[in-house]
Amino acid sequence: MKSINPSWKLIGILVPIVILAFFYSITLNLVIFGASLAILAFSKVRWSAAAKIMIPVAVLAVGMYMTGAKFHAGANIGIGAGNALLSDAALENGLQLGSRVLAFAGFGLLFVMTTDMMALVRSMEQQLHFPAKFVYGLLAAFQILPNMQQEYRKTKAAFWARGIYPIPVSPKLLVPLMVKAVRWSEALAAAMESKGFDEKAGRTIYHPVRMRPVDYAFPFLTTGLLVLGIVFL
Amino acid sequence: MKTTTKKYAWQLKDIIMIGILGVLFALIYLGAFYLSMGLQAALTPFGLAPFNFEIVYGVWFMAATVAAFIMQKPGVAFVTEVLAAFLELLMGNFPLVITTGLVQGVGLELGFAVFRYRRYDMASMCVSATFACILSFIWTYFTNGYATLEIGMLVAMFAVRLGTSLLFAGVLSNLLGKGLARTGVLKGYPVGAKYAHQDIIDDDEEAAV
Amino acid sequence: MNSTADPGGIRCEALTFRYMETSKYKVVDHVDMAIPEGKVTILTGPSGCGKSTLLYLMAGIYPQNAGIVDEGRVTVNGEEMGGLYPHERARIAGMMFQNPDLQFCMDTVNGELAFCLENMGEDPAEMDGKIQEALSFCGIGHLRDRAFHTLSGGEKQKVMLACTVLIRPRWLLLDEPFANIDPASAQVLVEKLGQLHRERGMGIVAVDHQLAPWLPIMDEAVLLGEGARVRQRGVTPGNLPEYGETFEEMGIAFPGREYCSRRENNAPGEAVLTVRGLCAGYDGEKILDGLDADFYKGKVHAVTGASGSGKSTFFSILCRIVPYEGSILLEGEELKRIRKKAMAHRLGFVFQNPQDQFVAQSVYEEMEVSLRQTYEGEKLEAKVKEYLQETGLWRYRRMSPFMLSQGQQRRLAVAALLAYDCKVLVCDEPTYAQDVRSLKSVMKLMMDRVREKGLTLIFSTHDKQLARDYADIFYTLADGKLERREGV
Ligand SMILES: Nc1ncnc2c1ncn2[C@@H]1O[C@H](COP(=O)(O)OP(=O)(O)OP(=O)(O)O)[C@@H](O)[C@H]1O
Ligand SMILES: Nc1ncnc2c1ncn2[C@@H]1O[C@H](COP(=O)(O)OP(=O)(O)OP(=O)(O)O)[C@@H](O)[C@H]1O
Ligand SMILES: [Mg+2]
Ligand SMILES: [Mg+2]
Repeated sequence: MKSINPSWKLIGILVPIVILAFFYSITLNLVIFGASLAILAFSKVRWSAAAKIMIPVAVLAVGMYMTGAKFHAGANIGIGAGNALLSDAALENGLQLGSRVLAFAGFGLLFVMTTDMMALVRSMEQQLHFPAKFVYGLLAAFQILPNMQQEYRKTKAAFWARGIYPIPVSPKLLVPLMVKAVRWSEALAAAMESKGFDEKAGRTIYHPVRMRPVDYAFPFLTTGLLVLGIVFL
Repeated sequence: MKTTTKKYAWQLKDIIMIGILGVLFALIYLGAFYLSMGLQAALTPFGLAPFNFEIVYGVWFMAATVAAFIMQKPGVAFVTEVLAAFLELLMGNFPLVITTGLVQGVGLELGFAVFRYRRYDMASMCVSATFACILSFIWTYFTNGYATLEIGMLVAMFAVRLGTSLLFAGVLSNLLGKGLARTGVLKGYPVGAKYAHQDIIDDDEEAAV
Repeated sequence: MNSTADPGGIRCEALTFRYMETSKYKVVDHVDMAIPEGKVTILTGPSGCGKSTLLYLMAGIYPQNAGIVDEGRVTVNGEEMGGLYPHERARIAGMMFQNPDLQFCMDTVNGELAFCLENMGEDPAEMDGKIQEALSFCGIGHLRDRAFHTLSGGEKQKVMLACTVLIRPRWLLLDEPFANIDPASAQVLVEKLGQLHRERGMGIVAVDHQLAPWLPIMDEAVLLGEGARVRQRGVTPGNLPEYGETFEEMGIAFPGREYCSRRENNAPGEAVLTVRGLCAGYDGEKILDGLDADFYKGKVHAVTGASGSGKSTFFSILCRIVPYEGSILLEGEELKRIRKKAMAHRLGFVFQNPQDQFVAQSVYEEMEVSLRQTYEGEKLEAKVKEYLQETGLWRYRRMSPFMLSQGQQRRLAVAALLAYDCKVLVCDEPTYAQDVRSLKSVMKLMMDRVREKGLTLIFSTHDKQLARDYADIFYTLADGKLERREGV
């Protein structure tokens, strides 16, 4: 899994996701989830990281299960009224919604745990021919990410130090952060352009990503398997 | 003085800016989301868990409406939303966000398109938020399998989502955009000149002011 | 590129520039200047006079990205930079900026250098060799695979230099490149720049408030006044002493001259802030490791240390932005446990970057926010005016704080915090990127407070002279610990 070209892997996972959105099958959902975990088991991933991602997913799955069970179409119960949780229809509907969450999460894990994000961006430039400006602009913005949380805290502290205590999403707090966003973007863009970055010029590529047949085959494989699953399960 | 770039071309700094805005609002969204996690725990037994993200859903659209307000040209809302989704992906979110981003981006863009890209104010931002809300709701209807849910529940969820979309992506975004323009950092954009003033007042002039 | 009609070098002809269409304020006002090919020229002048703006115009960043050139033009080696594509510009003039954190788009050093070579369209097969060569030229071969967030400011500036080595521009333009790094790193950088200048004939134009670091390689210093207009040319390391008075009059730092006569304050004080066994860091990596220190009431404490040693980290802990282990007692109370509203008027701080600090829409309001706590009505207005005049910002009062120049922003941040009474004030590099006049006015504001109200002042700086002239107690941060010194 890790060696598959990230862009084509992304396509190979997005297409089935979109298809899956229009079908309802508890078995299929669970099979997808199980298969994803099985593939992951052979891909040498960091299980602790995967487990961390799974916690909110599990919470969500349970939440959706409850929703599905309580408010299934045709149950006709108002919020908080009666307890239809035990009926077959309710149970099935709950599982339906809960297992969907797991199926999507399975696909998601498969991608996230086996893909280096830097490689993804690089291959989006090379294989999918995204404009270089977007690719590198995005990368530059992404480098800012680790600072952002601290910037937020700093801004908050600056207000506190002057005896002002704004609420978390107050424009007072957000405007200074946005000012920084604009400032940073200007500074970064100036720095990149002064290093000669220009998509009109003939850029060369340091480490070209080479494509193998298996990379091209991947989306067809996943989509094919899903269709088989839909037909037979 | 000649200028070499066309007014409509995307510049590198625009792309980085919407990228950073995307990061900023993604984190705010996450923060809000974790805050409301507690709420979710309380809602789950009643089957109301989805309301947890419905109440912060509007934050999703903020980057796009703010960026549109700043740059005021076609395509900004759509591109911002899609870029923000990509950043989410890079931050470790699941690939599903890309498709969600595409759908929402179309909705956001529509909001400004119906005004022929001539209005960037509270009204157009609210319309944009509304369209995004509608399209995204249809999309979640399919991905989350809402077809199996009771209609009353769906209506309630939609109402909440619409409310927060208007609040965050419409009203709050508009306030933020104007506040930002007043600081003068948008001097490179047309809105910058509209809200910010850079004037030195020397004391001899002061008598006249 | 070098046509015979145009003799090369950098030329400004009646150059006039405004930031905004709606404003009459000409930041660069009819500037005429010619800098001959291949020279090392330092532009200096009072804060806010338009030096940075002028440099950006030379680089072609303005008016491409913002602002309007009303009149005149600027050419570099005969080319009008604004009309060129970035990759063409990069070969003529490279830039190095003040803020080391905002210059890179890739995650690692190697990636960034490869990015430069890709931009230049170099053959991929040769890239590894070239990168290695550039890194060893700058003496940072060991940093090749490091991620940027693990590098200190000085190291980042060296990486930036390595980028320049790869791109080989004819000119290098620098905007206060040493403002955020320690003198030792600055010296290394100047040596390397000198080497590039000698070996490749690269021209250098730098904006700086301090001439001292440049003296070994400088050909000429140009003193700029209001509107970035030339006030004095032909200042060279040789004839520098002749210009002592001009420097004084314009408020520019004269190398080696002290800021004020040392004050003596030997009365023992009580400790207001006691730090014991302080540990902190990022992502499991320890920056501060068992730090002990005492800060005394009514005293001025200077903290020096190499860039990346953790000064800002220490200060961020005092401002409660970064979590810590160990104990910090503020007037006997553990800092962590003090409720946020109970902190008011006790510990104020000025961040390294003044833009982190602003809470209001205009310069006037920024001061007003602080002073409103103690004054009202006409008294309030009078006080705001007094503070702003003291810092030379009164004429900018209607502007947004973000529209000020680097040095002006810094003055505003310090003044605003001082106006909001507090017992302890922590200032991260209160005077970097300042001209001497503003430096003195900022320091005077603070010292008055120390004298009159017994303010405890803690500041960090890379400027040894500043520490020597103003502080009572000296600390040096190294290896995660603060060490008390008798002098600097
Ligand atoms: N980004 C900006 N937007 C609007 N106005 C600006 C901007 N930067 C600078 N100015 C204005 O232009 C004037 C000159 O600023 P500039 O930064 O060129 O000064 P400087 O000589 O470099 O000062 P310093 O030494 O303090 O850095 C300032 O008075 C400021 O008001
Ligand atoms: N937010 C952060 N996340 C991770 N590492 C950081 C962060 N901020 C600083 N560091 C690292 O911590 C170390 C100390 O940085 P700090 O900014 O405290 O140094 P400093 O002494 O203030 O340097 P300077 O003189 O350049 O301002 C550096 O190696 C830096 O790379
Ligand atoms: Mg400057
Ligand atoms: Mg620092």
